[in-house]
Amino acid sequence: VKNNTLNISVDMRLIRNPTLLTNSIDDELVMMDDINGTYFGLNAVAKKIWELLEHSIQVKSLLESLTNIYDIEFKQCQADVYPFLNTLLEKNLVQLC
Amino acid sequence: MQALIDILNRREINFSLIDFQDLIKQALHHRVTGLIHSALNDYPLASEKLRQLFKHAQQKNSQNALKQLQSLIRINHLFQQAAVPYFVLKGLPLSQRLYGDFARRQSIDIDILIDYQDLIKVDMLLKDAGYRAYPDIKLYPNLINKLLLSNHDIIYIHPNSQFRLELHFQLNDPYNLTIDFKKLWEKRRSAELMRHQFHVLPLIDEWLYLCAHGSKHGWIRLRWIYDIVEYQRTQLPKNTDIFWQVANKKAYRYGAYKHCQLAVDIAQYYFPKANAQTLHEFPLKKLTNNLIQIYQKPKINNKISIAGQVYQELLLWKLTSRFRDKLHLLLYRPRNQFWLIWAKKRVPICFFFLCYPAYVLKITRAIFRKIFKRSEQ
Repeated sequence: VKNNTLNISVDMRLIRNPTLLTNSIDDELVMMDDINGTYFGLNAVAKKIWELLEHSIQVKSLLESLTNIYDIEFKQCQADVYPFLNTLLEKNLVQLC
Repeated sequence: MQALIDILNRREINFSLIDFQDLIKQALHHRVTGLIHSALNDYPLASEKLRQLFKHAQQKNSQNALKQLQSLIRINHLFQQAAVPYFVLKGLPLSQRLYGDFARRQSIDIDILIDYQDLIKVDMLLKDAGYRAYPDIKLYPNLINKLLLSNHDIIYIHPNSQFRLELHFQLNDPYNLTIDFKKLWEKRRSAELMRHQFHVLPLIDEWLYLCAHGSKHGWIRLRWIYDIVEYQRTQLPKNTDIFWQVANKKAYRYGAYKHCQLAVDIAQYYFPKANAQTLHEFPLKKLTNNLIQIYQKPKINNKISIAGQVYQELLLWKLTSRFRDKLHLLLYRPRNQFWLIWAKKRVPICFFFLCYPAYVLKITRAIFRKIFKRSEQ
């Protein structure tokens, strides 16, 4: 993960993979990769990030939105969110644009 | 079952008196786990254990719905490429429209309606895509004519995903809801699901289908009743009078007015928020009251047993409107069991006529006539 975090930068723009199928259960989200049929579960915070990724968004803007919503420091937010964004990229759940 | 009805009606409930395991079992049988899970949000005093039980069930529903949606999108693509017109009956698009969530309405398969004239083409398409038909019979035009007399669907299962598709070539059995596919297609509506467009039945035809389908199966699932309630609550146009006038006429024309009467009355009986005005449109209350009493016998309804099947057959007999339809039902109804035996035992095609008692009667009559003619000579 440490190596992967280097891949993400604040200038990057990300967007959801449009082929994914999703369904909400309360404050969580279930996703399915249409190509290999794998399921993913997102908790409430991850779901919020997912919602912000609906349209193309710069990583910096994404982090700023999250710091406002959850009232945390930008650096702390960056440290928490980068691994998650990397995972999303790795699994092809989000795309660079 | 009463607890499920009370929760769906948002009535006051003493949760300490409820056996949670029994409740979830009942909800699974009646396919309302998603609806109960959602309704529990309106009960702040409901225990966390109960919520978690239904949340877990809903997670399974959700995964299943996503799997179904994936298969439906592929089928949509397949049919569009082959230029085959089709409707999605009930299923995910209906769930999305009624409940705002395609996974809320728990279902195990996807029902699709096609023009019977496309049956051979679609059968080949699906088999090329890896589906297996049950019963697995090679279709040819003459066979389809026989199928139209007795069946309304063929089941296809994909061996890898175990996805089950019910391919309807008629809306229901021939003794009710005989449809003209081309007329339906002209009035088709669209439903969007995850950025994909699917075709669904016209408003009144869809309502009639839901009524006929539920009545035909003796309303053994509470979800079918709740669908009627929500359909009448959310889908009807502002001027409901016109809807009910046309629905009434169509129900008579299709020979399904008893089915509709039963649907409206049962919906009203269990869920008072269903549209009460509808009761005046269908003049068969006595029959419906009798049927509600039958429905309330849970021992018959809660299990798919021989008793349940007999009950359904009797109900169907009562609901069948015209003499011609009753005759049809009497002569052709036993075909389901024959079809299953047919599929399992691989009975040769030359014995196909055994599926249809009417043919046996015809042959018997012909033999009798010959014998009598000889004796007269």
